Amino acid sequence: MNRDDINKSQDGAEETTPGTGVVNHDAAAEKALSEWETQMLRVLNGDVDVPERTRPSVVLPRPPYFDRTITDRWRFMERAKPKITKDVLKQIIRGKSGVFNETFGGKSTSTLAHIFLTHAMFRDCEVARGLNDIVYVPAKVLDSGFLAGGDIEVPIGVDEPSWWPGRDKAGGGGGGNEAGEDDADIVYMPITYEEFLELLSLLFDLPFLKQTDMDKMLVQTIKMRGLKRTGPSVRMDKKATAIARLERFRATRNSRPDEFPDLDAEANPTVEQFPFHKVDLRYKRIEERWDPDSKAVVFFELDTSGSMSGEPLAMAKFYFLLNLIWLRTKYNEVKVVYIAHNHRAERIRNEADFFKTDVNGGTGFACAHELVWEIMNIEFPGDGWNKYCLHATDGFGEHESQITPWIEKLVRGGFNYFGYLEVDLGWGGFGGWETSGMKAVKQTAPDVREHCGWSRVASLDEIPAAMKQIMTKDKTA
Amino acid sequence: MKNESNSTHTWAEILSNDPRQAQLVRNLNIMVPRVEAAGKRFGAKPCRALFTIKSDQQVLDDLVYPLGVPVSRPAWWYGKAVQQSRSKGQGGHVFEFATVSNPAHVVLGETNDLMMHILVIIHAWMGHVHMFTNNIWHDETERETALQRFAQAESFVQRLVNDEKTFGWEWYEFFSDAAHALENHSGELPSNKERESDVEARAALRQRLDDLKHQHTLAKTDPDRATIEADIRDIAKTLSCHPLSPTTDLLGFLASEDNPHALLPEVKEILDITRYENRYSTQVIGRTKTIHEGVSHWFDAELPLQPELDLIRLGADRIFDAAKYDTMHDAWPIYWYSDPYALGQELIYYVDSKHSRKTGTEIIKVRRLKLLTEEDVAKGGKYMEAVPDHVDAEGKTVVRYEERDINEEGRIAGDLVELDEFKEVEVDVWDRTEFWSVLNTFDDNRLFTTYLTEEFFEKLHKKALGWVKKSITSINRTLREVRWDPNLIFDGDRFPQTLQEMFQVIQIWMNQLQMSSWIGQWFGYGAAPFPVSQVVLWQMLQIVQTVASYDADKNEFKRHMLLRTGLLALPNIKLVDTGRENKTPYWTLRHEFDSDFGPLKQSHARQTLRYFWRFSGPVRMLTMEILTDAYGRPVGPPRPYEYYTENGKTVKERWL
Repeated sequence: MNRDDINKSQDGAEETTPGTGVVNHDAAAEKALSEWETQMLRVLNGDVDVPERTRPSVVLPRPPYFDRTITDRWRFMERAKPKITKDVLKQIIRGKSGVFNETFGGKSTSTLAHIFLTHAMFRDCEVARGLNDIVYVPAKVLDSGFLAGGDIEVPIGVDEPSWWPGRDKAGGGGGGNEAGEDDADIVYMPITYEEFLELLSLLFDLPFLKQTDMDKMLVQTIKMRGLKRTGPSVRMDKKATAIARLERFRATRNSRPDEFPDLDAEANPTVEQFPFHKVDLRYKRIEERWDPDSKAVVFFELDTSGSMSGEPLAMAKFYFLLNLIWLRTKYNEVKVVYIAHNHRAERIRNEADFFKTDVNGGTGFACAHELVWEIMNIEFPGDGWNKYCLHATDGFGEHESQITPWIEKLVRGGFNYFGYLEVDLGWGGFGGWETSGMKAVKQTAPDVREHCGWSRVASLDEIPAAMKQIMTKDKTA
Repeated sequence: MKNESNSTHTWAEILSNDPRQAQLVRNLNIMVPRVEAAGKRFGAKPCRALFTIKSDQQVLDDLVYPLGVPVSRPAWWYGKAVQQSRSKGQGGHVFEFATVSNPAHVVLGETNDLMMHILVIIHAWMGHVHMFTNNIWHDETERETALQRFAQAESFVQRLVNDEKTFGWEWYEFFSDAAHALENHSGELPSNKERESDVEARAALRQRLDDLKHQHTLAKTDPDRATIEADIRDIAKTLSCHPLSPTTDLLGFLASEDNPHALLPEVKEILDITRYENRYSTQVIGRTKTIHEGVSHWFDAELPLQPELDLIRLGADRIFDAAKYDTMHDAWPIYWYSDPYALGQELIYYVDSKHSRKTGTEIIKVRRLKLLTEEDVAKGGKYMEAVPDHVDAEGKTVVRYEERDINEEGRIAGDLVELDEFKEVEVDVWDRTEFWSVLNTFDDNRLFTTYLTEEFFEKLHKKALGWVKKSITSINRTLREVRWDPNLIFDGDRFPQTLQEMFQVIQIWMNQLQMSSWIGQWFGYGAAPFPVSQVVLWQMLQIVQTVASYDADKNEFKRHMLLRTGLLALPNIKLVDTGRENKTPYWTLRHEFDSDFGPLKQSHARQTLRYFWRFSGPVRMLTMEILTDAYGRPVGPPRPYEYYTENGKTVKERWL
């Protein structure tokens, strides 16, 4: 059909509608249409400008801020999270990524230490007071509003296959598998502390946290599993009931009319008329179970004697913080008992206060262990709790013969584990001598010693490794 | 010839709760038609622009997307770019950007001051938007409908992602990642519209083949027959390839109907979107960066001097600001050789000097401005307010001026107002027809090839060496003032004349600088510091070396500047054959070896194949590699090399 044919058939249709003889031609509509067409043709040819085009150029005020990048960032994080691997975590802990090092108290610290010292618990508080300097916690570098809910920024390389002029180095093209090594491809992924701790379990696991008395600790759990035809009315599943009625309705339809000619389709009720019946009722089925679970209590013994002032105290607090967050990811229920001791021990009720305690006085260990013993017997008696005692000190206390019996008493009396962290005061070597605190742990009886772990650190950077050493008794860490 | 400027005026309803911002918007809206009038006299024809003031954060967010378009499809690499820029603190302050669209959306950074805003309006509107509207390299951005296209792409992709049964994120990204990886292979620009399609060309060749066969039967001698047979073989060989002529437009070919594989229409759409994004932003801007910034910067230098703007009424402080901002891109003379802004401006001035001529003078009548001070407000008085009057035959709004009272209208200090006072200025009239025809048709590559002439370089060198000599004079004076060793002061007869001498003098001073700082460290106070910054000496040295390298080999120098233009560093990969005609079970790509950039990086070749495989199935790439010995030294000339993948994962390689 060529152009003329089209015109002809249109002309024919315009004149009359077959069979009626009525003229369809509406003069006014036709005129309006032709005018509109002419106008549109002029616009399309550029003879006239449509009004929108003739509005002058203007300066407009600022619109409200609208973050249009949220979807894209969310999708990017989805893709990037699996890329956080063992190697990435090792790099962060060692702090040798080269791009993420910060200084803390004048010394270069690892990324991890920096990350944890910026924890909300340490916010706005003085961690420790030294002779010459006060160690303040650095405020969080970035505004969390822009971090999509994360606390820690993990650098990972996400390669983008495309070659971009300007972004990539010229010559030979970039991209490809190795693009992750390029600094331009490193992105900082925000994740929360808890997520980070979960990820750390990629690196090492803590054997002593496998609950030995798991079978003793049972927790009732309730789960909805499947449907039943009977049950209390509060558990009725309305949706399933409605579906059951519809299914029954469909079953009543005569789907093979040839075989059942006697059935009258009209006689059947419609789907709206079709009533509920008690056989439609569906109830949610409840499964009650007693799941083995465990509770844990941890005693933190922090040495706040005068000799701990300055960085040693910060190290000890960092060690406790790391443990605290760790345990909270491992157990449903963790109780923590905070004890600060110098020459006399004191229980501290408040977590924040514990991390803000300052130093003074002399050193005594026995008093702290005695307080632990008393609290344990009163508040956490019997086998109901996994009990751990973690001690952080500089090691200068009573003679070891006075301390060892206490450690043995604690372990034999119900503690699963006794961890001992010794911070180096940086006063120089002692000719290979060990402190009395360290001697006390090491000389415990063999049955007790296998439930003890110890380590010695000289800087914040060594804390995660020391934690691993204490928990796993891994002497090579 | 009289020219009543500001016959048309703009106004805007100010919808802002912030009175200071309302003032800024008002003031700028007074300047916009003045900029337009001055630009028009220079020959700029930008399309309509909507200027929006935006916060720095918003600007940084927007800039992640192609040319900062206000809508764009979701893609994880935008998220990555945002995350990177936020956590590394990249970006800083962005003064402006403009979208390629009609009307153009020009974004002004919120923290600019009034003078910077005016310069930015000149820069972005008269420079960039003019080029977007008129330069032929921007023709295929489809500026009239570009933003609608982006919006459609966004809703299309959103639909794919939401449709989890058939597409969802996984499949969408399977294809769009691959398209993203190949995005720079989106064909030449501007595209050759006269090239006949593959089908037409193939039909013509078949016809020619039939003719030749017929001629073969009619041929009388053996030599005739032999010639015809050779032709027939040639044509048959050509016909056995599909596409007939190799194409660099990988994405375009995959999305076209020529593609022998029946890709899903959604996949073709993804390819099309990616191709369009690239041709809209990276390709266009990559090929015209220098000419763009050159024109804009040239306007920044010229327009503020024009009487229409009446900038002197903004106060001397702001004029100094303008001068300061103008030097942003030529803070150091070495930028004249490397920075697209400074080099571009030099080139535009050169083109102007070559092609423009003065044809006469005209008198311009301008309504004076006034920047209200506290005293003016206290004193009160009258000013003129532009109000829309009627729409003229061209559809433009004509304004009339009404007298208003400063206090009754609530004007405050810092408000810019127009007065019932005029000045008449005589200005030169220039014929810039040829100049604009150059700017509207050239890209960077052609601009450099044509105008990086010996004459241009001589001018530039003279200017740069002039700066070096001025610096030497100034350093001499300073050294004399601080009573430095007179042997190390090079003035009078000892003033360096040749490049060689300048080089030596600067080196001696560099030595002095290092020695003095070393002595200062060892002996502490009392050792005299050398009174010149090391950076200045470095810059001087760089200029001298640049000019010397030009003298050594002019062609090589020009070639190196050319290599910086037009995305020349992109690997040139062509689709040679799909195997449709010759029944080969794989596709063939060919990488054109370029000795300037060396062989294709192997990881790039492998990844390109893996991604291309997602659309094509088994595919190979022919390229050249250089054999190396045990020490990594090249052995012999580049030789043919092949990459091949059958499953999209393992890529096999071999020497051909």
